[in-house]
Amino acid sequence: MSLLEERERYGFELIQDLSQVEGMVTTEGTIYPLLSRLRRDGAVQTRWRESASGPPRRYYRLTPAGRKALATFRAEWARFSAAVDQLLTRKR
Amino acid sequence: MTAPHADNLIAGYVGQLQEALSELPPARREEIVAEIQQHIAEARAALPAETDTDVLDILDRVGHPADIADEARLRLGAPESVRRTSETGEDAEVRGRLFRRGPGPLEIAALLLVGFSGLVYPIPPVGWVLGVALVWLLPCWSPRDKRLGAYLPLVAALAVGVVAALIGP
Repeated sequence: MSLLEERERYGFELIQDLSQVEGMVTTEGTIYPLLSRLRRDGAVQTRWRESASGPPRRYYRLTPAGRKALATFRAEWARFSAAVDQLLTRKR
Repeated sequence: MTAPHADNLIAGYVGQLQEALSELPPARREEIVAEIQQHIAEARAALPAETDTDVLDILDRVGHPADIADEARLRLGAPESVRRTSETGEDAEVRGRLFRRGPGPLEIAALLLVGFSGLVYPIPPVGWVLGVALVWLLPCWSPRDKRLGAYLPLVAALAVGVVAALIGP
């Protein structure tokens, strides 16, 4: 979702960018059920765009609701990660 | 350019995927299968030249159909309406747990306030109101218990008052 925040992407592109960030996406195909779910929940919107090199591609982009969900998750993650950091680096 | 068995390999994979996703609503299944087919096509197009092993690698990276199906069941498994009911079911479960819970400090405070507020003069109205409010808010008692809890002390207090007035100082 964070990758979709800056601009719309199509599935293959999204997975390539993801694998650059995370090092490896083990099962690339599992992204598609997730995207489908995000679409059903109204967090992403899709539209078809012509591609220069082949058939049209379905592009995904965040909706306002998706942006809000992402912001909420970011805040929660910051809290969670700070708590875990504190736990793991606590002096005995 | 095209690997000799690419089409067969991909068709076999897509067939397995369709079968693995057979529980999904057809529209969702077709959406996911089409997106994955497109993904495979993009991956192939990105190769300078392609061999059967390249195609197999692409399919490996896409993942085992069973894994994709697991993910799809997790994300999309139950249709929306079913999901809603199961969520309310969960709420009921939580409420049920609250009902089964024994009396906690709040419940005890509520009982003390309702029961004994009449004994301490400046508190009666305030204490009784607080106590009744607590009894009503807490999930521990049934509606019938709640009404009884609210009225009985009032009736008792009235009775005591009437008796006191009759006997007189």
